[in-house]
Amino acid sequence: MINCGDCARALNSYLDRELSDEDIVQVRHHLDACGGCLYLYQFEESLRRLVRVRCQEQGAPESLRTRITMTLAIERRRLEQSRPRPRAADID
Amino acid sequence: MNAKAAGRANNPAHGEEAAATRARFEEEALKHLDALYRTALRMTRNPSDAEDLVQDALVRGYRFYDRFEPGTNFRAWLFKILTNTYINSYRRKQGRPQESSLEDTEEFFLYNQLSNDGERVTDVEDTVLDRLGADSIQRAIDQLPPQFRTTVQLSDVEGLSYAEIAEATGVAKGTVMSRLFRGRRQLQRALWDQAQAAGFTSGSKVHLDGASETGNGSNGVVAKSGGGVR
Repeated sequence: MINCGDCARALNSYLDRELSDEDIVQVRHHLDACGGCLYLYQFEESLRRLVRVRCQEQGAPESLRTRITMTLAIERRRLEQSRPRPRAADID
Repeated sequence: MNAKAAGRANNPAHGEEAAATRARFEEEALKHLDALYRTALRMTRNPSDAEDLVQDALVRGYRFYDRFEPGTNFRAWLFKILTNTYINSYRRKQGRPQESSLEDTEEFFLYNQLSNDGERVTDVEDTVLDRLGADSIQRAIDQLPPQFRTTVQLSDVEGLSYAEIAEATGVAKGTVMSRLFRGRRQLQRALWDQAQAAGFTSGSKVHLDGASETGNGSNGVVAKSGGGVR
């Protein structure tokens, strides 16, 4: 059984879903039994959500999407033209 | 052109195959455009440089797509190209990063700030932090030293795993974890500073008094203004 210090140390990895199954069980057991750690866990989780949701409101400008599609088309033509073309060589 | 690419170019069958492959690159890469742009914006802290950086990175990715190993993580590979392009082309012209004043922040700083007097807070929505709009939160992330900033962005905004961030930023997984550990502590301090700068935390009264509607309203306005970061 882990204590509050262990739980606090494991909390970020727990929120990141990067703990082993064994450690997840340990943290869950502790959170079920310890109100103080549960509050902290809920707070940290809500903070993560706030940062993620608010920051994800911003996306790339539509003009960038258009610009990239155009740039890749130019790059495609450039790559195609730089490749030796046997047929064109025959005609020449 | 390297020997492998030259060999392929001489193979007539490769032309169409390569074109189809590159078309697939464009489709797959554009799915990650928002995430790439947001991350580029945190790296360059400038919308115009961020757009150029994403474009340069995607052209590089397009050119070298034949080096991507199918079945491995495409998203991490894209972010790796973004990181490398930034380091090679953009970081130099941005000069030395500002010294951060955020060192030595205690862990769970915000929870401790907001939970005094024996009253526990379990949701940021019940606190002044809920009034921080996207711009303020992004400014807080921008306060972090560059390597922490990118790592925190990739983890806490874009949702990459430790292994993906390690691949994207070219460091060991243990380094990702220590950067996250320190970066998140500094972010908590920076968020607090943003709340203070906005006048949300003057005095000891840090909880909202049923004012969340006002808070959400102003956040909506800030969020819609989108593009401008500074």
